[in-house]
Amino acid sequence: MADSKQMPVTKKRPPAKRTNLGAQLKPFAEQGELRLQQCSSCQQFSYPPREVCGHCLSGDLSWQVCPAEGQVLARVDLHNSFEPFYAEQLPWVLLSIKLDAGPVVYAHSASHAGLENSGSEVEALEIESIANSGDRVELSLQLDEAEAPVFVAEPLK
Amino acid sequence: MSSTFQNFQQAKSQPSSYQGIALVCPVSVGYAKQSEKGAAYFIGRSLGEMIQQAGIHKDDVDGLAISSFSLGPDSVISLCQHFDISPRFLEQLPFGGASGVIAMRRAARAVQMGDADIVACIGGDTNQAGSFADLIADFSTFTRDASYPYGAGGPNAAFALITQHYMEQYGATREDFGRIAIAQRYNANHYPTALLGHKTLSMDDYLNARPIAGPVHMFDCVMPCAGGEGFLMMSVERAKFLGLPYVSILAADELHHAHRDDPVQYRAGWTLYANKLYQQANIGPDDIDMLQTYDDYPVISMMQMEDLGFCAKGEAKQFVRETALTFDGNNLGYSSGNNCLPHNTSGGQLSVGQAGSAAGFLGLVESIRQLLGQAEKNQVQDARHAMVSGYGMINYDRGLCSSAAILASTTSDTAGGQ
Repeated sequence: MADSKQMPVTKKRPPAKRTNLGAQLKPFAEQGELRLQQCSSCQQFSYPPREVCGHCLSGDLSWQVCPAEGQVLARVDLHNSFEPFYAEQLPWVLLSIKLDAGPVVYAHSASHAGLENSGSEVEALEIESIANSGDRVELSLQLDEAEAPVFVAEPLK
Repeated sequence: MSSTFQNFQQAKSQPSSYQGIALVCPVSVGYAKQSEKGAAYFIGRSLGEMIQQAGIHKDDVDGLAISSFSLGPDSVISLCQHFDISPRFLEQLPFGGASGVIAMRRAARAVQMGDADIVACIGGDTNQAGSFADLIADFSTFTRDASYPYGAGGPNAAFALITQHYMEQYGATREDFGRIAIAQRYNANHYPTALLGHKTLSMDDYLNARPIAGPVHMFDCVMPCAGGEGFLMMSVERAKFLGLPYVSILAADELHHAHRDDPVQYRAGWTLYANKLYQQANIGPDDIDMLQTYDDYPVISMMQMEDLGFCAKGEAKQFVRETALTFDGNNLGYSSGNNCLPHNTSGGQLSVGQAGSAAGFLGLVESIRQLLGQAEKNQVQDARHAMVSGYGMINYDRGLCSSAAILASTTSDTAGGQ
């Protein structure tokens, strides 16, 4: 990180590569709607994006609005990243969340998602105020700096 | 589902005996931190060393069971032309850390059924600049959409979440993980092939290491490297005819994506077949003289200690506090009591290096070497039974594969299986 003080920081973008299915989340992220694939046969939500229902193997999945609340399973601060965007902003907070609707999702933390204020130094205090395991959170679907869809979690008051 | 079918399911069949199968000629080849050579080099040189040890011609090998992450665009069939061989049995096992035991199981059935007489089971991978980053950036469709965009930490991030959850659930500490890493480093100090074997590791070194992700620090992570691991499989009759000392399989099994409703992984498929392994082998955990776990991270070794019956769930922390894990029983001052279970006797991936899919063969090849009495400075004394387990393929938030086998030296009274 010492190098970044000497050199102008290049404005990197987060990894935007998605599968064809994963890219289908983009318009919902633009609209700020949390949608996941739901099976028309068994009504179960599935994630990560897939071709057939992970419960009943029906091929009839469509993107439906999903209840946004869930519980943090674990939270870690990443001190290492293979992607320059994150490497310049370490530590980076990663949350795994069990949605009430069923699926487990990885998400950025709202106060530290690098979305509105990316590139800014992260304050230690800010890190402390982020959700921890067991906390209830609300999930949203947003566009990141590469205009790719990502999940962002915010602690419920 | 009809009750008839449910009854039929409950009577799920068991793997039949591996009697009559011989594991011979363990090799570990070409370990290097990085290499300009391709994966075929490490696979081909493993095969070359094995046939030399066996005193056979390459055309005597009529089966190949291969695992490699970096062989693409080639596959096992490409290797036939590369090595100029004409096998009648081919397997490719893209199962990472579980691939060794799985290759062994497939090859054993082929030999038992007459589909092949001599099968070369090999894991081999190269490691070129940037190749590990490329691998994790596109490991699976699920990682591409659902984990890589969230910090690009690769397996370190997924295992940090698993480790954090395990520590909060069961009270394991970093010192407990350190006990595993330090004992393995001691073992590696006695195994010249280990890439980190020339360095010692103290608890201070371990605890003060660079943070990587959450509770995972530098000495919890494997070093990607290049290398090959392999062994030959044939009938006991053929091994005797060739004058080759051999190791027997007492029991082996695998189960994938088990416990799939667990929100965070804290166990894997072993829990559902460990007892059956012991029954088939007609021994118990106390009779195991060495345990080779898949140690991509120490927490995963702890899960294997628990799920394979060496201690109860959540008790691995206590187990490693009370058990010397070194090949020679030296507790290094880190464990109390007189218990000893040699664990990852060559240093495991944490100290040998993770040569891609070869890492899924590391514990198996090491066990064969140990049970043949062919280990050198790290030889476990009077070793008769080894438990080897495999784990792997972080498709998203957990490792999907599990495999395990109990092997026996042929001087032991249960040799040959049931």
